[in-house]
Amino acid sequence: MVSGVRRVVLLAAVLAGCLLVCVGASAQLVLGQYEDEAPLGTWNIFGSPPAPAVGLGGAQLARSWDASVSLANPALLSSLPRLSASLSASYGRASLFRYALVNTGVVESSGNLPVGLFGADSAAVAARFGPWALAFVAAAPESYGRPRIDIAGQGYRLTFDQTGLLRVFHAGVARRLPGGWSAGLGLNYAAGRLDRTTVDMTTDPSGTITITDDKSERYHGFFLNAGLAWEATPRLIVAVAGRSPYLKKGSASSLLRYEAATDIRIEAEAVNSYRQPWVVGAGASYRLSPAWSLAADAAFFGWSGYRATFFDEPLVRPFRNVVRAGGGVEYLAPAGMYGRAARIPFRLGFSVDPQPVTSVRSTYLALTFGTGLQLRALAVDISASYGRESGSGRALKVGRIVLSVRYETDER
Amino acid sequence: MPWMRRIALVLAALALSAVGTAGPEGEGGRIVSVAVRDFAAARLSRAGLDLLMEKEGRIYIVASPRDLAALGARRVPFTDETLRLEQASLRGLSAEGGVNGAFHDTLETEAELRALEAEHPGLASVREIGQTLEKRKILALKISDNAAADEHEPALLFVGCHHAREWISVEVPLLFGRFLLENYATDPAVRALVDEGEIWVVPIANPDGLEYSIRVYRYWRKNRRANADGTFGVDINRNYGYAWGFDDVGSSGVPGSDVYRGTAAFSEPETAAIRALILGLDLRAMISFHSFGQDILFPWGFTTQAAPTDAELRAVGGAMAGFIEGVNGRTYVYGEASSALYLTNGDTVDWTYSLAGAPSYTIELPPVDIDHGGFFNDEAAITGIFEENRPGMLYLTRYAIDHPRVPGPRKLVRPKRSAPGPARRSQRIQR
Repeated sequence: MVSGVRRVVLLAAVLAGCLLVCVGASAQLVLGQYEDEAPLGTWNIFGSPPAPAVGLGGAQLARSWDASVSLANPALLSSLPRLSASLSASYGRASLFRYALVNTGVVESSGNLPVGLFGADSAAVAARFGPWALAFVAAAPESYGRPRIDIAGQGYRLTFDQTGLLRVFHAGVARRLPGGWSAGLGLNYAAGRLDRTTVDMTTDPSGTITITDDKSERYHGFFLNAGLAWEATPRLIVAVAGRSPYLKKGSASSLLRYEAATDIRIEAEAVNSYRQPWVVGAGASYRLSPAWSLAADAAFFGWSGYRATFFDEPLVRPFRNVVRAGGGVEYLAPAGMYGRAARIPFRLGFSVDPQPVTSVRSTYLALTFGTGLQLRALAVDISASYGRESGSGRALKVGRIVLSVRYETDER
Repeated sequence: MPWMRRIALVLAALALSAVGTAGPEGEGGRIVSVAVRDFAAARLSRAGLDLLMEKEGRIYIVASPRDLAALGARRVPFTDETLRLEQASLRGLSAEGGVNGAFHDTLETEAELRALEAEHPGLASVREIGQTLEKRKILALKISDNAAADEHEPALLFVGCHHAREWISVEVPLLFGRFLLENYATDPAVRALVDEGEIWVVPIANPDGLEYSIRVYRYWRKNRRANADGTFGVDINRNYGYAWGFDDVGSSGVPGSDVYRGTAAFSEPETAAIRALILGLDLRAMISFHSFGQDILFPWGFTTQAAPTDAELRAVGGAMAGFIEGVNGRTYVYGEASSALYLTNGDTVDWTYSLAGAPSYTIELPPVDIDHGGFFNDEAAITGIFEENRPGMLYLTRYAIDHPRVPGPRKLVRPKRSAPGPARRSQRIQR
């Protein structure tokens, strides 16, 4: 038993080291990937994977941990305990090289510019009534933050700031069907914001000239997601899931202002639109033994249908369809805590995440790691991913640490 | 009828949206105009008509079929304006609402040019003279009595937006093109110009830069060339082929500079497109619009020596300044570019002048200085700035048609290069 504990501690130390590496890594993306409306880190966002899924390379279509799975595959709600609740939060760090006015002609940087964001990822509850299961999820899967720019010289100051996020409010229902099948359907309401401000200030003895460019958008849109899962054998689950395309509308306002001896304002309002792509994916999970299991996913994103209009004009976004894939292995180590039986999971995964931008063929390869502690009804998981990009020539990187806590009324 | 004007101001805005969306036709009605005299005589103010606006002696009415019948019963002569106003309002609306307000971006400009071409078949022809690095079209509007044909008539070029942030420089040549076309039928002087010459309007010489200025950074100046050192942009008004790179005062060989001249003369697709256009013309005169400063500048820019036809350039420039001042009292200073502003080499007007001595001008539009907006103009000032320039543009057009040029490139006598001195304060803000 003592040697077993040592092995667990050693493994945990190795994983903790990996986590520290991930936190320290900075990341950046490529020209085009960081268009103003691009989510931070990757365009390919489907669901809001909790920490255990992140540790397995993002695999979430055929393996469920908590109710947040309903965002990706609501059919898996049928495999959850009678009542469960979960919370997830993350710290993401990415670095960008070319975005907005940075490295496009106005502001130059010698290297990639990092940005770190901490926030709640999801809160979810699920309940099962006989063959039916219901779930409610609130998630924040997309962030639009950018590294802030603040440059000052003698009589001159330039600042750029962009913040924003997208929240999804989801209701899902699933039903267990004969033959080991389950089917699920989710209704989603997306709402969010993006605020961007550039201020250019020049001061000389005759006074100060301030040029302000303010743009803001308030997003909203509805979409459906659905899934099927089949427990082919007691060890094997296969699943398919998808998300409908939807129109993310943005009520937008713009103010361009010149302030000096004269005050000139150009104001505009519009309803911007971003036609989000349909997504379809397939996954499988396989239990090798009570301690070891595997899970893997692949999801197709139909980005070639992406269309965006900004203040009544189309944005040029020549995107390609992409398939994101990921998977990993999990080992559950038995342990004890205060005399109670517990399990410590160790997860290792890998993902391939090609970006839809065609100006530069960019792909992120990421390693993922995870661990945690599972008591009878309570589980705490922490995972990290560390991605490195190829294709842009900038060796872009992205890192993320996710912490999830879940409570279940009964053991699975 | 001051009350009518007040009503018109309010109703015009409402009517524009009505016309721009469903339109009276969708409701079975029309927009008609009635002479003010007839309107009063028939006591139509009491008829409960949906009044739109009063303009140039006519009252515009959104008329239902019943209203039209009533006008007919009262024997009031009216003109159906529906189609004309719909086209005009659609065109006007196309420039509104974007982040650049009433100023035109590249798509809005193309829509405007296509609308002018459609509304004035035979008189207007839109040509794509080139394509930018970001695959945007560089468009020219040819205005002539037989615009589709290549008649090689005396040609004038009015070009705007070499520099991205100078948004007003798009509007003035664009409005001039519209003015010529809309007044061809009614103004004999305009008709003569269009019949005898060919007037070319290139509203946006630098579409990529303009879009960047609108959407990313308002003060962007150059085009969007990705330079070898990681910087962006070539100043296309330093990229023309006469005295290109003459010295490092009038332009710069440093890619990050705001006046970077590029790797070679005409290295940029924008200047190559303008060159190709001009070399196919019998160019008699040109104006390149810029802002700001209220200046009328003529060659040379690369040297303080006088141009061979300095007297003519000065006289014509002075006349244009006089016309402008006659409109509203606003003063435009005129003079040789190198002396009145600062040294520039590889700029547009030095090159066009070098071809055959065609009077070539850079007009720095209002405001007069940075404190009054610099590269910013109030949307409400657009029309006024065009109106003050219009007489001078018409004068230059008449003058150019009447004064043939000797074709062929002129020999450049290069003066001694002067050692670069300390940059003057005026060079801090390049225009």
